[in-house]
Amino acid sequence: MSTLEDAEVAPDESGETTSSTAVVRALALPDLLDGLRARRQLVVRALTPLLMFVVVFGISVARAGDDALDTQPTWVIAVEGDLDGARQTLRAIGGGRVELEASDDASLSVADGAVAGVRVPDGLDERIAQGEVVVIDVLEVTPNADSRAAVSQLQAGALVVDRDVLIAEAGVEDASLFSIVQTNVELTRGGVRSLGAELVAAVICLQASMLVSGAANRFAGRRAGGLLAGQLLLPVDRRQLALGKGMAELGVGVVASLPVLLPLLLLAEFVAVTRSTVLVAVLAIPAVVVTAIALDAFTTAIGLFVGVVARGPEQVTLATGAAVVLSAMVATFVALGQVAKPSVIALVPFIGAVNALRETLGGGGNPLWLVVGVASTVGAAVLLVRRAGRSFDAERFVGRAR
Amino acid sequence: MRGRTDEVLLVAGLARREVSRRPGAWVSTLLTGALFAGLLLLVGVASGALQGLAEDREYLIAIGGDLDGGRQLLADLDASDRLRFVERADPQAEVTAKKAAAGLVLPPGVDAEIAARRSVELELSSRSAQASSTEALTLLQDQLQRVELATLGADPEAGRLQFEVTSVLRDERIGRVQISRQIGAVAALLCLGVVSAVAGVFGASREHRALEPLLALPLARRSLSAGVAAGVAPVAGLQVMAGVTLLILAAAVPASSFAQPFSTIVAMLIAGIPAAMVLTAVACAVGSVAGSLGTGTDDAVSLGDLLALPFVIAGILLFTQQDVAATLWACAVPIYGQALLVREAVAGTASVAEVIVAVSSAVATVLVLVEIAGRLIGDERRLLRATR
Repeated sequence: MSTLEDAEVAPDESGETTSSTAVVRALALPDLLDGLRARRQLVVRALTPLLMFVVVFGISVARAGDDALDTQPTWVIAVEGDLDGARQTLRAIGGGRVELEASDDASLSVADGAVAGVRVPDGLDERIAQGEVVVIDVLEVTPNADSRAAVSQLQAGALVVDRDVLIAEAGVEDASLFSIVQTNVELTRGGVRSLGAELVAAVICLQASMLVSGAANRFAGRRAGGLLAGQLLLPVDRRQLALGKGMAELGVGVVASLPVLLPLLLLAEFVAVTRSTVLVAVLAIPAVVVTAIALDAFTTAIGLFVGVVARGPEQVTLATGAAVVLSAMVATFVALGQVAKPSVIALVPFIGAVNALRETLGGGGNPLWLVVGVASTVGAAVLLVRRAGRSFDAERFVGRAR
Repeated sequence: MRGRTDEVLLVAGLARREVSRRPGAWVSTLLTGALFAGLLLLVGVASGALQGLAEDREYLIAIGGDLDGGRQLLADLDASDRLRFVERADPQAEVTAKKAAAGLVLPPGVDAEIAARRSVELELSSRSAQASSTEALTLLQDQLQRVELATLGADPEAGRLQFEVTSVLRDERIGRVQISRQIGAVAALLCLGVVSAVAGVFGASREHRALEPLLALPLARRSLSAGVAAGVAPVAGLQVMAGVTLLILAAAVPASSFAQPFSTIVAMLIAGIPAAMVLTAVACAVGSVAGSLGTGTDDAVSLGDLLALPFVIAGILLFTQQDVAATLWACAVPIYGQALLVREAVAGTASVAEVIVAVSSAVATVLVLVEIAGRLIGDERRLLRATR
């Protein structure tokens, strides 16, 4: 409190900016200490995303099974008809990448989990052995890239199986014209660097989304407990009050995110040192820290805004759910997206910072775009907090009963 | 027994009246359901458009090396309308940076080598874990085989195996199965809000010192926990009910690829809503445990988020393993079993045995959790200490 008074009475010595900073600091400190002292809540906030990531990762690995360690995915193909009589042919054209599953209705199985389906006639193997031309119905789910890939494999595999026959029928001499050296770039130095960058960017993005709930609930709880009304009587600008609360929540949020952030820092640095350039190795930790704080600031600002406007825990839950869904979309389409995004996307708050971090850690981006991404994200966070501060003025807000 | 039921109903009535007075709760629960229904509808409508786009999709192949010496080969490979070749200094780096689906590097004088029937070494690169890259690579390899056979004088189109590729279009039956997969998972995720709501009411009652007078009444502790959970359930459960109802009604939109006839929608509603209520009951019980543990609204809600993790796991499992069978053992697993019940009920494939097992599991889970919550709020140490 003394800090606040000192700051307010000595504007000439320190100027407007210093005064404002001191006020914000004085307002933020008690909330920050209060948040850090609530150890159990802090542990719960730290543990929830950690457990969630472990569970999601565990499910992904368990689901992938042996494929997780295999460089070539296996596709489940639903086979309708005489599977036993077609097994040899289907395995041959599948090139060791298909798992055959008997089905009464291939189209239904394809809708229900199988990657693609085939309808085979009776005795396919025997008919093929006799040189008969056989037509197989193949069912693909066109919007599903896995399904298209599996069907492409079946078609390409058929040509491999038929090669000897086609050559013999043509009466020409066989020769292998193409010797193919195939590289899975995911296992190369650059590929590992790229995957590491994507993982770090995605997890930081998701972790940040978890702060919305914490900030909103804490603010709503303080308001419900009558703690805010007293602070509104202080002779400080409402925007400073909002900024102070935002800073405090950011501090608590960053501490709560440490169990996730620290392993990510280690991962980012390890990948950068072992798989990237000196510049990326130097930039990795600062880049991750700055981006994480910027994203946390943005989501904390959203949480604060939600805490201000929400009129109950259900509304907080709704807003939190929407924030998590949007963050998951950013993580999926930007951090882990199948196509690289243009660097200029850095101008878009949150999304830009995630994309720029991925590019910087991946070694393919200009670090200046990361600066732009972080600046746009922090700028948007400040605007959100100021907007939340304006709502502090409303009599409706001060006077309304819960 | 009668006395215990009366106690629960008494407390439930108090909690329900308190929660029902807050219009924000009703509005937001309905909005949550609408949010998810909107997302599903979007997926359904977008699915058709996506199919058209996917059918026309072509893949970018980064090419490098001696392109002048391989012009004929490239022209032959270009016969596939799904591959688009672009010249790049380092094709592999382009693939790594996700700027191309696959890469191809030609050695010097490819055309001359092929003409002389000598083997040439081609470098192909792709991202194996990415289906679109794998498809591009497979298409490229298939095209190379065709070029090779044609160059040797064989007819690549004269194979014994001919394929008739059909894109699976969703009919009513497939649409119902697919929408049920989404609804089962979404219902589990919507329960996060239910857990938060119940935990929040418990937390608020501690903050406002409303719990202590109730503890002084001659009521069993578990009646209090069960009563509060039961009282909040109608409003909190509305979120799931509205969500499931709106999700099912999304199938009534003709533009949706999940579109169902009116009679099927009615059947899905009749079976799906009660199943969702069973899941909601479990969520309410989890929320009462979180609320009993918490010392205030924000603390209780944070704990609720933690204890609601099994709902997240169930939701993710149902989203990612859509072909998982609803065995009796699976139906017996608390939370997961009830989410499976929602899925099977909406799909119209739930057997009587599955219903009995899932409901029994839910009842047992609720009873155990309510008992735990009752013991927690009856803890004098917690009662006496300051809540904040």
